[in-house]
Amino acid sequence: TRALSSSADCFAKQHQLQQQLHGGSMPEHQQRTPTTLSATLSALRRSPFTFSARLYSTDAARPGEEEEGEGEDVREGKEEGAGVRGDDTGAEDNSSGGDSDSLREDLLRASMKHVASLGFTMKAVQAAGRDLGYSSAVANVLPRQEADLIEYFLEDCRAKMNAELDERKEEVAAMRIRDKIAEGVRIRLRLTAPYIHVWPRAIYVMSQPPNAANSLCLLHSLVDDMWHHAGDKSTDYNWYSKRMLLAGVYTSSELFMLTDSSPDFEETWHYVDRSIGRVLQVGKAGSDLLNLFKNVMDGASPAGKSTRV
Amino acid sequence: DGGFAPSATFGGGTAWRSLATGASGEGEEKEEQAATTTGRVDVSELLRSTQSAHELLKSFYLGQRRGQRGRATGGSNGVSEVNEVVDMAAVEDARMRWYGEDMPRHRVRPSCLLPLVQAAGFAGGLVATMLPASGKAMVTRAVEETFAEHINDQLRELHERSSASPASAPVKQLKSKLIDTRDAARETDGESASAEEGEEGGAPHVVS
Repeated sequence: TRALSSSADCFAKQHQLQQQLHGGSMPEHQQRTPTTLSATLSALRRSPFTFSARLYSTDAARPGEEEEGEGEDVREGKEEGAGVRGDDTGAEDNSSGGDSDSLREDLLRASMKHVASLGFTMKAVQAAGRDLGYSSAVANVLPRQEADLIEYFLEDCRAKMNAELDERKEEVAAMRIRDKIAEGVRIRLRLTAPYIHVWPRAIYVMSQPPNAANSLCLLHSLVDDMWHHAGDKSTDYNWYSKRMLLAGVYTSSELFMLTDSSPDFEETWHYVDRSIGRVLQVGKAGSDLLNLFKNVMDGASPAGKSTRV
Repeated sequence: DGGFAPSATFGGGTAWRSLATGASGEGEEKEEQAATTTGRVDVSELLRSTQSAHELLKSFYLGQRRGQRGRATGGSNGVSEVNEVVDMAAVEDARMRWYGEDMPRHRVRPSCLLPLVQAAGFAGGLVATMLPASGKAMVTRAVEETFAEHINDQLRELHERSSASPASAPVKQLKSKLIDTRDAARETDGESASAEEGEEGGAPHVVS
């Protein structure tokens, strides 16, 4: 009963806000608050602890709940009819993929506003759910819980880093390789800086065995993008060695940043420069060794000198 | 509000769940990436396997060169004999230059078995030089024909994948490059002609 009343309060508040936004007279195609919420609550049926959602969605006495007046909200889809009529056959599950995705996207985006205070935890997701007018059970749309939130953040940071490097393409092209890489690492670390005080928990979550594979894939994507923007054109074993070394640089820099208390993380940027310098020295030494080995295999005779182009 | 603003290029419901590595590029590059690395035509595996096969062929020639040099230094005319033979390994190295352009452009990683492939090819070339001339020619011809068949398989695969949708310009370019790679003159091209005329043995005659 408490859950039902809270859901009804959320619905009333949302409806009131929309009416205020539109000056008391909402356009017909935007009068979709009741079914938006009911459709969303129907999507929550797949998760446990949605008894309150089921109760609300089966309430067919709500005024204005018609299929025709739904507008273009992608979250509604075919679910709204089932939600209004209380159809509990579960048929809407097959058609709610798009609704579920947009709900998760909205939820994760809203969760980031609470991460600074609540960390990368389900508390942030639940707070976001309340902000959006949902029940706290909405957090169950994230099957991997905190890991989903952290992966969302990591992917978003990678996209932002790529966008910034694309915008500064000409400026970056004029830099040396080591400066290009350092700039990419700095840009990426700056995106983590606002959440550095809660980042240790995120590292802990992503290092758990169920999440380790995904976190490695994300790290690979990140360093691959960094090398791509640096103009790397390797097609041999260097491709792998460069990315592994940069992954080591990035992760060590991130860990260093956790304990850096200098203004604007200056020590971290110095550490990045030192690490990249060390790595380039190691890489050069490795390639020199391999070239020596190849020369030995090719032989020392002038006729046998390699005519590699 | 925590200062978080989602990026403009990110936010689709499915985008955040994919772990694709494509970075946003400008105009033409982005179009090429979209055309060749989306589900319509995925050439990453094709490029990777073709490069591996070509590396094996090049390493085979490298092994042959090493073996021939080892045998030629034993005689007074050893150096001149080696000089007469065109360095097929260097020729193939030049022919492989297009991988260095296409693979980074399409964000294709090289095969992680590349060192193994190179070692196997080098060992095969070394062993081939220990055989009689006819045996060496047979082995070399077999390696080259297998490489050509592999290219044919890749072309067939590419044609099947691109037949459902109109082939984009990058796919057409890739097809032409594969055909050029397959049809390039190899070491045994002249030997097969001479073998048909009844000649046997002797140093390999390379047609450049």
